[in-house]
Amino acid sequence: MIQAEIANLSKKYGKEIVINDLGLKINKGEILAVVGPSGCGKTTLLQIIAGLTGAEKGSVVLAGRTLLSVERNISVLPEKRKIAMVFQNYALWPHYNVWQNISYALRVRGVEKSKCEKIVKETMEMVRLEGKQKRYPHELSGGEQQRVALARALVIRPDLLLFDESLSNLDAKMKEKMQREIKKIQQELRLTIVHVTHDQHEAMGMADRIAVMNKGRIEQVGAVEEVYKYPVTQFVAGFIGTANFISESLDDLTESKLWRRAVRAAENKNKNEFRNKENLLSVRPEDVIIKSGKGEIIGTVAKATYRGNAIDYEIIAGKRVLYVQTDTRNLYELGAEVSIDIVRAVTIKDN
Amino acid sequence: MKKKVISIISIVLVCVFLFSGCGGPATTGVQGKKEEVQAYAGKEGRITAYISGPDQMLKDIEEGFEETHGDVLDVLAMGCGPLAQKVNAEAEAGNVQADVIWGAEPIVYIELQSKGILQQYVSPEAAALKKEYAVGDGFYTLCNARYGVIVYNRERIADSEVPVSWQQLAGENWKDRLVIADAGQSAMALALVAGLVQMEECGWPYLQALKDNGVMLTQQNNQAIEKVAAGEVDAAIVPHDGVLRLIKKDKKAGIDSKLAIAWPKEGALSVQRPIAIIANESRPEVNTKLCREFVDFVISPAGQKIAAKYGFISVRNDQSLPAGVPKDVKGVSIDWNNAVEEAGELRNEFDKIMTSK
Amino acid sequence: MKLRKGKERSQGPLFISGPVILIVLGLVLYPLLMLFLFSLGINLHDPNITGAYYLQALSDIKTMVALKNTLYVAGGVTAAAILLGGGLAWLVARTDIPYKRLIEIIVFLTFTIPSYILAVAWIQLLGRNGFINRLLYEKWQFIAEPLDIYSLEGIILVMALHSFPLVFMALVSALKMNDKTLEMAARLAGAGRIKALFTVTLPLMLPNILSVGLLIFQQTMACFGVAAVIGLPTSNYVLTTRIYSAMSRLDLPSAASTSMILLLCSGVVFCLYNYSLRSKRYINISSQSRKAEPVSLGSWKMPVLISVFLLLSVTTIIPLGSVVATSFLKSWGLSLRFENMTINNYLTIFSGQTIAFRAFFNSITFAFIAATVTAIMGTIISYLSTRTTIKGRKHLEFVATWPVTVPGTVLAVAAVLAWINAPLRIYGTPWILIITYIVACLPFGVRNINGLLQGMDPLLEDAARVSGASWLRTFKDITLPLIAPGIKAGWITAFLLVLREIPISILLYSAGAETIGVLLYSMRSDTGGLETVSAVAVILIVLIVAGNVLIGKFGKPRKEATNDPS
Ligand SMILES: Nc1ncnc2c1ncn2[C@@H]1O[C@H](COP(=O)(O)OP(=O)(O)O)[C@@H](O)[C@H]1O
Ligand SMILES: [Mg+2]
Repeated sequence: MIQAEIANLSKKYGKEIVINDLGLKINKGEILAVVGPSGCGKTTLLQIIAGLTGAEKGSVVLAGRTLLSVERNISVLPEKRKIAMVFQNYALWPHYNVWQNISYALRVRGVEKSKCEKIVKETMEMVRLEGKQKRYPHELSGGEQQRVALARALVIRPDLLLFDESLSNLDAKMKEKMQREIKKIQQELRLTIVHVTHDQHEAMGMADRIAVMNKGRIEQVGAVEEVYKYPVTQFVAGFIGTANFISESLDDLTESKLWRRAVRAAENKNKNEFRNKENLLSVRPEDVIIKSGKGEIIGTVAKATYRGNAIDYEIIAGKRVLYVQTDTRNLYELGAEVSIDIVRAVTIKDN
Repeated sequence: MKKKVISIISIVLVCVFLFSGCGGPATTGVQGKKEEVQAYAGKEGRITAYISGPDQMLKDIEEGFEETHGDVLDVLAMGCGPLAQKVNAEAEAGNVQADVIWGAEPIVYIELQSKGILQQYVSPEAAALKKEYAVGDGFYTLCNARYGVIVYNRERIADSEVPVSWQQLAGENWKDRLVIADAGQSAMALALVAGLVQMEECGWPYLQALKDNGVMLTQQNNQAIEKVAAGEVDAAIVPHDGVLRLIKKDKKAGIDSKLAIAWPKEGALSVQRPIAIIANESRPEVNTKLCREFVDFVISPAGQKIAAKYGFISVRNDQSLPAGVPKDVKGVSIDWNNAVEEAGELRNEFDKIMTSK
Repeated sequence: MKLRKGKERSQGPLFISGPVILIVLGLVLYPLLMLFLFSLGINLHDPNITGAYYLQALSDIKTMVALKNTLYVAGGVTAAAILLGGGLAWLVARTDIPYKRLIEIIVFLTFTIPSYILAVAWIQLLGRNGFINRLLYEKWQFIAEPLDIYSLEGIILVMALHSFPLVFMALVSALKMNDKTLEMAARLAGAGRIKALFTVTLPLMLPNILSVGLLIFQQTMACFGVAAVIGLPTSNYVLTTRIYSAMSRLDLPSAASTSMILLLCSGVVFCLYNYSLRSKRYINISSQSRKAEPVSLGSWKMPVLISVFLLLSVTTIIPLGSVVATSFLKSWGLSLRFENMTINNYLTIFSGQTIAFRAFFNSITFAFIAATVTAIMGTIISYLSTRTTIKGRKHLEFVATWPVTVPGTVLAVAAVLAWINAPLRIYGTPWILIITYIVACLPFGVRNINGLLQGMDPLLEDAARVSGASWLRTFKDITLPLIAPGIKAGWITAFLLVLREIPISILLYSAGAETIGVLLYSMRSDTGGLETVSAVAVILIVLIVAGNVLIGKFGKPRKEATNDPS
């Protein structure tokens, strides 16, 4: 079931188009991650959804209610939207303590005192902030601030919860822990979450679906695996994970060998698409197989990075660098000659 | 862009609306006689006077006048400068709120007269005025005189050194020891400069000599006196009455005043304080009568006695001099009409001399 | 000034913008417009438009010299006041220097001394016959030439000492709010204490510094009192002395056109100010705001403390002491010996025959009303200017802060012109005083609050909106508490300004509406002598300090409660 739908959204700042005819559907009870590079308009998108800024065109519908429709001149005030948001720098109110910060949304809504206290207490337990209610924001660690911000958003049990790069300030361990906790809370409360980030790992670690955003547009939406396995554009393939892009080449022998190999391994739904000159093939590093000794395509190991569970190689093949990931059973020295094979490729649109 | 233009236009329109809203009646006054449309600001049977002078004197005057007339007078006390500026600003707005003004210098009154805001009135008391003060056509009446004199600091000037003439101040031994008020800042100072320039013995070369002698300027005359009292400079050219009041105050406090007045032998510069009734045709008859009676009172012996108590010289021929003024004082009259005609020239020349290096 | 719905950021306060714009247009722009018309020669006697007065003013070398002097003095005062006030503010807000409260009180006291009296005190010290010259030049022969206070630099000195408390008050409130983690981050990144100050704290404080700097610059351009007392003796004219000169010769059009030159300069400076802040975002107030470890001065503590108190004794304690001493003198100019002392000056003031009681009562009432209105309007105007996208919001801010460049006398005349005729006839009532005080103080309100709002993270307000708070509720719960120090500073500044205001008072007061300014002026220009004037000033200062102590007493517990929950 669709919880929220954004359609034909456009937004300009001055002459700069920040959101460009964007459409997006958010399912009820899912975590949708919106990923994209810095400056692509993610924050602006969230602000429009939350009603903190307007748009030039388009509409936002949440739980059957039209929140914004420029065409019909509808714009529901942010406080009337039942959307909550966790901001990038948390935006905790420095003059309120933790309890006051968290309970604010309830107090504003005039929730009866005992009920309010109960909800806040529950929520604080949920985000494990017990005993911290008298602290002020500057007396909290980054992780604790993050939890306060989360609790503040949770108390109203929003129809839609927005995260704006809210985890980026945490260290890797902390981030993972928070991801798990958020996921747990989300399932418990059956929340619908839009989580915006520039970090693909963060997105993949938490989201049910991913929307890849570039230059004010959504380039692809889909389940995490689908987007990873079947990227539709070069941008998506490059942004979600690493990819080797191979195009048809007439003057470089190695390159054309690679191309032919990749074409054979291509597993797109419509295989003939690669005939189109404009298209490329994308090969994931783990889909490149290297072996020591001679083969049809030869390369030289230029760099090796040990990742614990895998090794990333950079292989010079002809004039290009090929990114390869292997398991740790076979190790190759720098400068070693290896033969290259491609086992899987997909065709993508060249942006 | 278009929006910007529209918003600017609307702002201007609002302002014009506001302006015309309240400037309206006054603007018609430009064509007709403005007295006809000028509303009367006061209440019937009650007049307002703007007066400059010592607070206590104003109180005595008010009490003296109300003794015979009852509570009919509102006095707004202010300095000479603000008095002129306030009346002028009110006149420019076409609605002078005062009924009577008293204080400042004749130059101001001649200018106000030329703007047509003074009402003619010749007081029956005028017959008792000394001849030199019975001037003008009754648009204003001279009612007290002050003398431009030299005030000096007794601790810094030996008796033998006390200046006996204006000329002496231009001498070499007076280098960096003199202060006067700036003729560009104070109308009283301008009057004094006009007097000095008109004096045969002085003229512009005299002022140039003072400048070469490093004369200091102040904004107001009382600041010049302060500088003398503080011993920062040794002497100043100022009106005498303020000095007399300060000496009197010191005496009351039981101390020997540092200040003393030197009366130059060429004569002290006589600067009069006029009184005038503001023209306003919508003023009720009772009030006009009160205005006239107030003017009469100020030049009556009773009024003159009060002013004399505060050091002002009487304009009547039947009054004695205030304490502290020598019996044989010689006053030099200033040609006010000439001073007004030349006012611009006077200020410019003064400015030129004083800003020269 | 219309909002395009749906397209723009949602903003609540539009309904109040209308009245506020009208008030600003009416109270501020309308009198200035009257003045402008006069400068064009449009008046009752000769309603023909002419540029003659401008030509005359602009072609007059005197005006040009005065303009040059004005800009020189204003620049010098601004720089000096920011250095002095900003330095002290940093020490008080950010370091572990002891006696902070005492330093704050002394700085505050400086601001209560009327500028005229401060100037006279400095003449006593630095005049030709002054104490310092006698010591340095005559006695020790430390300097080759006696220092001359009667110079443009002398004006700068006195004006800077008079204005630096404004900078101090504005910056202390901002520095206390500043996000300290940024400074700490810089320190951790290896920047030294000083480097952190210059690379992080100062740039972050830029909106506040520029905001108050602009104010000082504009205010100095309009200052008359000090320029007259210090500049005139040696014929150093600035524009205001020229304007006053035109006023004293009753040449209103010339005074108006010269004032317009001042206004124009003010406008240019304002544009520069906006330009320098354009498109940059400075966030001082954020979640990380408040309380962090103060910078430890370490072994510098004592030397710094001693220098601060030496400095304060020069800026405040000595002039203040001289005012107090003078107020007990039997006569101005007597030496400070016991037999020359008396309390008669104080008795005279309240001898029942003077207007003193009424003047104090009126001034305090008017100051209270004016300061409150100023604080409210200043908050709204700053809010509109920094938080909304209403067209013309910057113009609104500018117009509201414009009067700071208009000398008090001229402002008073503009008020006469604007408010004397029906139907807007308030001339002759106390309201014209109050309104003109508001106009004169509004810039201080706007500037004090504007700096803080500009540095406040708008996300804090956004967060409240998505939490379900209406615009008004957000303003009340989030914005207001966080900019409260600025509002308070603006209120106090306005209150003090009104209490010691002279030129507007003497031109606009009516019978029964006498003010302290009227009292000061009449004492000064007549029988009283400087000793009585000083006594009035001392009473004023004592009242202000007492009021401040009271406010401190009542204000404190609440502040502590929000600061320190445990
Ligand atoms: N208030 C604003 N005024 C003008 N431009 C803005 C504003 N906010 C964002 N932008 C611009 O819009 C673009 C997208 O910004 P943002 O939505 O914050 O990107 P992201 O969150 O993806 O990093 C950026 O180029 C930014 O410069
Ligand atoms: Mg962002």
